[in-house]
Amino acid sequence: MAAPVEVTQLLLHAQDPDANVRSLAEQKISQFQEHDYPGFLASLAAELSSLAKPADSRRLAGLVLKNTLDAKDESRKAELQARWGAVDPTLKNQIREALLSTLQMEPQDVRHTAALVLAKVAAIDLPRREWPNLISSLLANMSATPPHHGVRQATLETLGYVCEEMASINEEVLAPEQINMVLTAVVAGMRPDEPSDDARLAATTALQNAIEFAEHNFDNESERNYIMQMVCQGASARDERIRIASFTCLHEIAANYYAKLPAYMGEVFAISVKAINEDSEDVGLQAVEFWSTLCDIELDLADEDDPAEINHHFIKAVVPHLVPVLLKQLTKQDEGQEQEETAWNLAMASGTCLGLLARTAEDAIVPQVMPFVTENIGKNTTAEDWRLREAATFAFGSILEGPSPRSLAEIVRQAMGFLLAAMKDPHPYVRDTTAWTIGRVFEFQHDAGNTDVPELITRETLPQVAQVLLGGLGDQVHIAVRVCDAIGRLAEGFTGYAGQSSPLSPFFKEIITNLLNASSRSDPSHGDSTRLQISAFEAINDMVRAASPDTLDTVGQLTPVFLQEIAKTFNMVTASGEQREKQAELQGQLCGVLQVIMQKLSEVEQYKAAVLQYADQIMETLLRVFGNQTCSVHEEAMLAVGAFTYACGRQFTKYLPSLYPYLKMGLMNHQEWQVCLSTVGVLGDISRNVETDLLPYCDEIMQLLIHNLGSNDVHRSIKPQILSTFGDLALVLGDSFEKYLETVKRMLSQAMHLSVMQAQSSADDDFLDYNNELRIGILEAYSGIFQGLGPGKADLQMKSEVPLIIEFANSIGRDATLDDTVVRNCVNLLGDICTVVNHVGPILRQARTNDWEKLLNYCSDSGHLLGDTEWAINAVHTAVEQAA
Amino acid sequence: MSRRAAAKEGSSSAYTSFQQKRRAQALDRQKNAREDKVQQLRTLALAAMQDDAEAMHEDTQQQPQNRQQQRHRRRGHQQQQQQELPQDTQLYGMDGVNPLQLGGSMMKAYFARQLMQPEWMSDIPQDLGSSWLVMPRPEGKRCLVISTGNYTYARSRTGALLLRFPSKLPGGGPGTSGGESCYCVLDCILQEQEQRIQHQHHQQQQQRVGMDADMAPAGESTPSQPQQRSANGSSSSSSSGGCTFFIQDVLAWRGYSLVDCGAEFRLFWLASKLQEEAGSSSSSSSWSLDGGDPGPSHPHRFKLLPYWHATPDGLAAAARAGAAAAAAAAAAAAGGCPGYVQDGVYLRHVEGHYSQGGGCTPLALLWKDAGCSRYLLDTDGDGVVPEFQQLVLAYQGPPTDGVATADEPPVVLGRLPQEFVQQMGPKLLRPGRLLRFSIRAGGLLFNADGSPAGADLAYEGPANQRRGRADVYTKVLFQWQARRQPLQLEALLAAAVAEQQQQQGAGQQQGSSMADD
Repeated sequence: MAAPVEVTQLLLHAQDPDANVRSLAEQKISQFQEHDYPGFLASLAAELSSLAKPADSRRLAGLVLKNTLDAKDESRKAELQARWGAVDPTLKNQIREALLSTLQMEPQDVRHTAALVLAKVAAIDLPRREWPNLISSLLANMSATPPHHGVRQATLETLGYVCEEMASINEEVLAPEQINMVLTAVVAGMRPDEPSDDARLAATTALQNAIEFAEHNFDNESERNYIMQMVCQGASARDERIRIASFTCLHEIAANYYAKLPAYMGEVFAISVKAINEDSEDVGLQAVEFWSTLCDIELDLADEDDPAEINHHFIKAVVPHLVPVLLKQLTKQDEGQEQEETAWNLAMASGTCLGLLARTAEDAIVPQVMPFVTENIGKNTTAEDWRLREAATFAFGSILEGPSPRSLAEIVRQAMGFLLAAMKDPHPYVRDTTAWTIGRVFEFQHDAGNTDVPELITRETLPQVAQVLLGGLGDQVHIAVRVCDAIGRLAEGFTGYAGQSSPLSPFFKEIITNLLNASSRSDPSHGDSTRLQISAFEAINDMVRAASPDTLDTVGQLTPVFLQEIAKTFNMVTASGEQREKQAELQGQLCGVLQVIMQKLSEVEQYKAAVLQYADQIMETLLRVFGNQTCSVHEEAMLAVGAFTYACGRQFTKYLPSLYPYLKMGLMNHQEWQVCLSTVGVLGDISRNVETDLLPYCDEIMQLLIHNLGSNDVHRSIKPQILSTFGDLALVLGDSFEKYLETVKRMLSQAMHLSVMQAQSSADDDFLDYNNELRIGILEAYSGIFQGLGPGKADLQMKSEVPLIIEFANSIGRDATLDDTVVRNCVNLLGDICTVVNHVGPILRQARTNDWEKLLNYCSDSGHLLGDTEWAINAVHTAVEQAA
Repeated sequence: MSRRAAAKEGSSSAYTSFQQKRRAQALDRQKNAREDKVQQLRTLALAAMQDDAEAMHEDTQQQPQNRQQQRHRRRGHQQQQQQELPQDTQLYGMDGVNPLQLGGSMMKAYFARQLMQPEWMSDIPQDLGSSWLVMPRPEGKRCLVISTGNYTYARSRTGALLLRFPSKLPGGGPGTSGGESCYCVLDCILQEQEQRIQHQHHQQQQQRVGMDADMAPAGESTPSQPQQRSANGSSSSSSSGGCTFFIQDVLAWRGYSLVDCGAEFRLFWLASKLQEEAGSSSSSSSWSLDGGDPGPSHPHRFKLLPYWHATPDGLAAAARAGAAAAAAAAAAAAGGCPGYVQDGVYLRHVEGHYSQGGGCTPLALLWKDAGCSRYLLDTDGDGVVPEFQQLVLAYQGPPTDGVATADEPPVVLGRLPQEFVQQMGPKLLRPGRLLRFSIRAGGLLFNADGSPAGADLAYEGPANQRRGRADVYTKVLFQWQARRQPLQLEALLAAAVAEQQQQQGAGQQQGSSMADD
């Protein structure tokens, strides 16, 4: 039995202002934990539950205890939980009792700490059925007489935290009676006659976490009515915190029991409008958020279109009543809020909600909003009228997404002139919102490739548009940022423009030049011009992506410009960590532009030369960026290398020796998983272009890839990519890939096994998505191997894998909803096998099930997949027929 | 607060979201490039498979493909793109295209356009005897042979790579003379080994033999000798193994392009250059570069086909050249010149340039009759001549819904009924789709001037889409005539004799053989 030791001094030292004292204490604490875990636990529990000890050390004891039970990192968390699970049961009981008793002890903030620890212990114990009397002990606190407010409050907090923990566990841990009792206690604490506001707040907060377990109670009308009554009454409680928490409860209820809401919508509408109009801003924001949440729900419902899920169309019904309330809020702007990126107030929240209403109610929103817009957008009689003009513009901008382009086309056409003129409004806030609205107009109403809607921006109107936008680039930084965005959307709308020249072509060079100037602008009124730089670069990217053939010469001229810009970054002062970070970020943006330029030029054969004439400089520059970081690899520079390989083709081979160290470093960078993922992708780019010239590096590369595949430290998103890369390498190495074949075959069959198991236990969407990624990786790997080995070799080496692969295809065929990309890849793989392996027909016929046939039929019946898969379908049919 | 981040989104977009966009773009690029790459190889593998199918089902002069052969095709692929094309690509530089910059499938399409496409002879040229050359046409696979960068490549009519191997052609193997500009391009008929051994057997038997060979690869070549296998086109179980390329024309020799020269000059050039290469010591003018058993450095044979002016004597000699060659081969010891089974004759106008680009040229003609071909009439997959003449036409799409030949411009032989088009639907019936028809009782229809006016067509089913193109009109016409009133050798001889008589006094004997026979 572990005996508690005195830890008070140790804990107090761990909070000492003197760093030396502190770190020594922390070291001792962790040594204690490592050398005598049971004693450590016992000592902390004793400290926490000892009234005689100082509140500070008791609280810290609780927090340290909590940290021995939970961690953010999943694998660390599992380790900690297993360690607690193995503790002697008597000691565990002792600690549990100490925690429960702490709830009874003053002061309140130590009770609060105990509540946190209790929930963490419960999270481990309850699924193991190890603490059966926890809930009843807590409920006893609630019914004790005379009631103790502090204990009740802490107990309600505990119940809330326990529910939160249980919600994150997939299995059902709490028995229905337990849930029922918890809810009864919680709802009882929410009653208006609860004497303690703190306890009532704790109860309301607890309900937010408990609500998802209340399915049974929500099925029962009288129980449901009672809960809803408590929540709605809370919305008019004396204490503002309770009112806020009550609206948050309403969000949870809407998210969990949307179907049950009709009876309560009248009252909810009334209290929310009252809160928006009359209550404090914080409560009003939560009331607006309720409607935004409801929009999210109905948008999801409309998106999924599942007949089993009822859509009550609350939003369509509420639009005529709610819109006027929200429009009124739009005029409550804070002076100068446009300068502040993160400003959040009723005006912003209402505008955002209006945007969601527009997406949900679609065309129905237009007549509700347009009168307000036309009435106010030109108002200019008093100095305060800018509020009306801004509100009207914001309202207009908010409803551009949702209604059909047709219903808006004429309105937008008429508004264009107005908006362009408003870019000269005396008030900067109005100009800011106008620029944002113009960007939205381009985003949702301007698509030169869409012939259904008359063109919004034509060769006739573009000169004026371009002039206004170029002027806007010189405005205040926050406005120029929005103008950059608008230019990006304008360019994007011309991406689908067929032909040699788009209407944008005549302005292409001028716009790019002005964006370049804007990117290098330092604004004295605005200390930080980084935002403008980022936006200007991205607008250049959008321009380049949309460049039509007659402007590719200009794009080609940008290569040396950006090489020079990158060179300049090496002169930046990099004394502090922050400065180095800033340098790396700027280099990232510039490499990003370079990547987009090279990719665009490489797509057109005769413009590859425009990249190649700077080939050595490009590679030197990128290598210099790599060399600038000691322990990491610059991801944007790596992606730029990927784009560069397509311009070079096999000539890229000469850069391999100097690039290889960074490639390797990227593959080994497990911490920054995005870097690793991008590097794996770029490895594929390189292999496709240098082909067998990669051979000298392949032993080590394969070793790294295989290690990554098997490592738990490697982010799971990387693994499917690695499998695809096996396919890439197999494809270009051909016979030389044979020496890796045994290992890769083993890896693939493990991956297939995992995928088939996952498909059977089909969990949530996230899991299904990942499984589909994994499947694509597996399928691409096999296609690469079969085709890379070619007929003969594949027959010899891979025929034994065919039955496994067919079982894998069967598992895909059993999906309730088939994923197009997975199916296409799978059918093509079957085609590959039938083309390069002999006598596959009998194996297909002998497969345990023929779910794979569903995949072929799916492709045959689908207009857009047939083109890509017809050859494979034919190949499989031929193979099966030959076996007949 | 998530709403806050989303408020007026786009404007406040952080660097990370732009970066995400670039990542997504990079992933897209990788995905597409990966698919393109895999597609290149699929096309090759499929072309190989389809050549098999063609051999078995459609073109009677072709033979089943040895599986092992396919393996070789595959293996060569990696280096082929870099090495197959000579530095001086002027020869190939049709339309100013540099094939080095073409992707795999485009490259294939590019090669598919290189071979001259003859027409089928439906009436006899008036200057047959004076202006045409005649050459026997062996059964086998028409292919383009390119020697460059110490390798020799053979590509099928569809552009697919059939073989890569070393040869003694200039530039075609290690140790052959010449620098980077030293390359040759030849127009050949490939006779595979089994074909030669088995050429007397019945067709179905050949099919089976091909499969047997495939099922017992270990005995022929063990995995420990991949180099040997990749270099050697066929098994070495027979001392006279290897394939034979019968050369029928030349496009370039030692980097010198001949496509703009007349046929007579090309063949003269070819014969004399081959002789130079073989050395003056060679007594045989039926030149073979390896002179005997194929070895590791020259696994396959090359043999120039004999040719004559299309005088009565020349025509008669060409028509029986196959039989003569077979007899000579039988008489010779092992390792002697291979024989072949003849499939008609190949005629070229003496001044006709080597026409490229995919369309047929009227200055090159194919002809056969029952006396010099085993298959006068096209057969089906079982080697049986179908009751009605079969043909493959391409659907032209709306609004005409015509079905037409592969000629340029296409010859429309019929139109699909509206109901049929609707029934098939646009999914199955895309423009360019190849469809199989038969010609029924109404036959071929002609205008008053003899030009095609249509045909009485019955739809038989979809054609093998991988064959790439529809039949050409002259082939349809030749088969049509062959079923009714075949153009016999006697008619050709008679025409040549008549021409000779017309020229009376100037009756020189031009038909001396340039090759021994």
